[in-house]
Amino acid sequence: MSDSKTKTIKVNYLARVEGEGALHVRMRKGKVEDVQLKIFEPPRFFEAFLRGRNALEAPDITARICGICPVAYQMSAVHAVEYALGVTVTEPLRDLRHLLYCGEWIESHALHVYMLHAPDFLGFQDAMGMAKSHPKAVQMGLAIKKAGNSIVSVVGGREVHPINVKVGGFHRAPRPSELRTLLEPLQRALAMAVDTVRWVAGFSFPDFDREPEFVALRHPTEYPMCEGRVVSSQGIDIDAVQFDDHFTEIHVPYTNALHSVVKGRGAYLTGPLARFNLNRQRLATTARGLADEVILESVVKNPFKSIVIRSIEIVHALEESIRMIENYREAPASSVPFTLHAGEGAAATEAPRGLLYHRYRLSEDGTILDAKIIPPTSQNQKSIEDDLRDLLPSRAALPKGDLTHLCEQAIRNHDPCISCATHFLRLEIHDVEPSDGTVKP
Amino acid sequence: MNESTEAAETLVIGIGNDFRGDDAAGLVAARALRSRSLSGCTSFEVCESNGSAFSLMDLWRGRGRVVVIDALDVGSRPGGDILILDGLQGPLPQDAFVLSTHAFGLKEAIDLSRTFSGLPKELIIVGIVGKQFAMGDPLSAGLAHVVQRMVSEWPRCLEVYVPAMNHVQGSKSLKENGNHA
Repeated sequence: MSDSKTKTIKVNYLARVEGEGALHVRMRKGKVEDVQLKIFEPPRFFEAFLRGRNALEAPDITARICGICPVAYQMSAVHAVEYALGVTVTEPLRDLRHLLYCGEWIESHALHVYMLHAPDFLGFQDAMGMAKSHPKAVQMGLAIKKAGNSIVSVVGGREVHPINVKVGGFHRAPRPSELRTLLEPLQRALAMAVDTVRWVAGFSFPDFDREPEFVALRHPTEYPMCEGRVVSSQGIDIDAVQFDDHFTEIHVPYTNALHSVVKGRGAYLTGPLARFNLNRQRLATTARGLADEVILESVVKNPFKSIVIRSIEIVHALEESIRMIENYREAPASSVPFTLHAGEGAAATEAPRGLLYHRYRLSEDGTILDAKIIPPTSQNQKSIEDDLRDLLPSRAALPKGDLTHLCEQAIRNHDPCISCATHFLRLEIHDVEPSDGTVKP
Repeated sequence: MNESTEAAETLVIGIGNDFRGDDAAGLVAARALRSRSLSGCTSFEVCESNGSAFSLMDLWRGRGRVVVIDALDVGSRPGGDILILDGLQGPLPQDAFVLSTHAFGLKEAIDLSRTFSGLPKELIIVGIVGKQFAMGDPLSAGLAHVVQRMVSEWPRCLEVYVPAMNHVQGSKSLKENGNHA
């Protein structure tokens, strides 16, 4: 017997998210019975791959995990290994790493704001459709992204999977003249990014608030990116090496990505909303001023407004990049000396889409005995499901197509990076008759 | 245009992911072609890409002839088939090109470049049909052999098949025409 009050939404392949994923939502009489965000993440391939390799290889190997945020993987890896070896990288090399990371934030956020998320708010299927009606906006996004790419190219050695980062510093530090060539495009991009903040702040956002436990890094003086303590809106304040004492990963049968939870509490959220809510006062001057202009609430609880936060973070990253390039003085050496020895180290940095944690245990000759990598998407996965559980009941009467689109948009709020480099654009919706399990296309 | 000028204008872009089985085919082909170019067998510019639409757009903007080599996932085709597509003529198959970055890959690069008048004058896509794309898989031996054969016949394979290019349904397969192992 058919149950017309039951509605099942299956998005078998999610478009405009990185990697492969699927969403299953089951509703009955306006209540959400089940939400499953299924992630076909290659199960811990890289953690196993790293075991037996030399720790010095970790930054380059882990950079291959994601085509969008290779710098984040490099940074968390290199900091964790340096912690294990007792290596401290100081200025100006520290600033160079910060600059490289800014480049990645700029390009990743520009991609998401303009190409992935803005079409949702403007009623387009995708950026290609949006480009025909809003060519200037898309070209602006491309120009901002290119400015970020240029930083990664000059500091990281190449745009894709940068190769210049090493334990102790860099293989080669760029000359000040090389960095100065970036200034003009960065200044142009900054002006465009300022306009972008006001543009996206004017979008119409679904009326929806939710306040999960926000988790982000916090640095005494900087908006979080490369360094800081792990803090939360519910009182966590720890060094990254204590991460495993407060957070744990749980296996969920329907997905091969692990869910990360706060021990004793459960789901939490990392990423732009968490960073902003926990560190707003640490934004660079222009970015902070724009935030005060367009975001009046003290805590941003509406995840659909993440597009505004990302735009503000683009401004911040551009301001910081310009400042660091203007102040850059070439280091006498491109890296600091160190010796390999046994040890254990962990580090967390802020990937564009959230906290990225790495931990390594090394043998006497620097061989990796054990590696643990917790990407932001597995940390956010449970919270994304909670968003959908809270969002859908009041919208249950929407036509299924609209509801499906809303689900996809809600997932895109968090820019999930589900695996790396493969996706399939197939979207299937089925109605399920629960009495006999029949699936009707 | 003489032969050397034409060769210098050709850009070959190999797309792929070294960690994803047969998806590495485009990269392996590009590296082999670069070696041939460096050894003087032939002369053209070669680069590698992860397939991000934006890097592709930058690479081919203002170029004359561009050849993109990428792995294809076409379930109905046997592994090792090589399909030659005209990137400027009509839509590409939506799902066939495996590699994509945030859903912005080759197809999107062509669409956006068309909108912004940034396409090269000629865009040839060499699609190598693969079968295993799981993270950690190696490039299959059969496909490695196909790539090796294709490179050894370069650029004759393009010269032979370019005139027959059309959309994916009718795309020429080198295997069908007895031109690869």
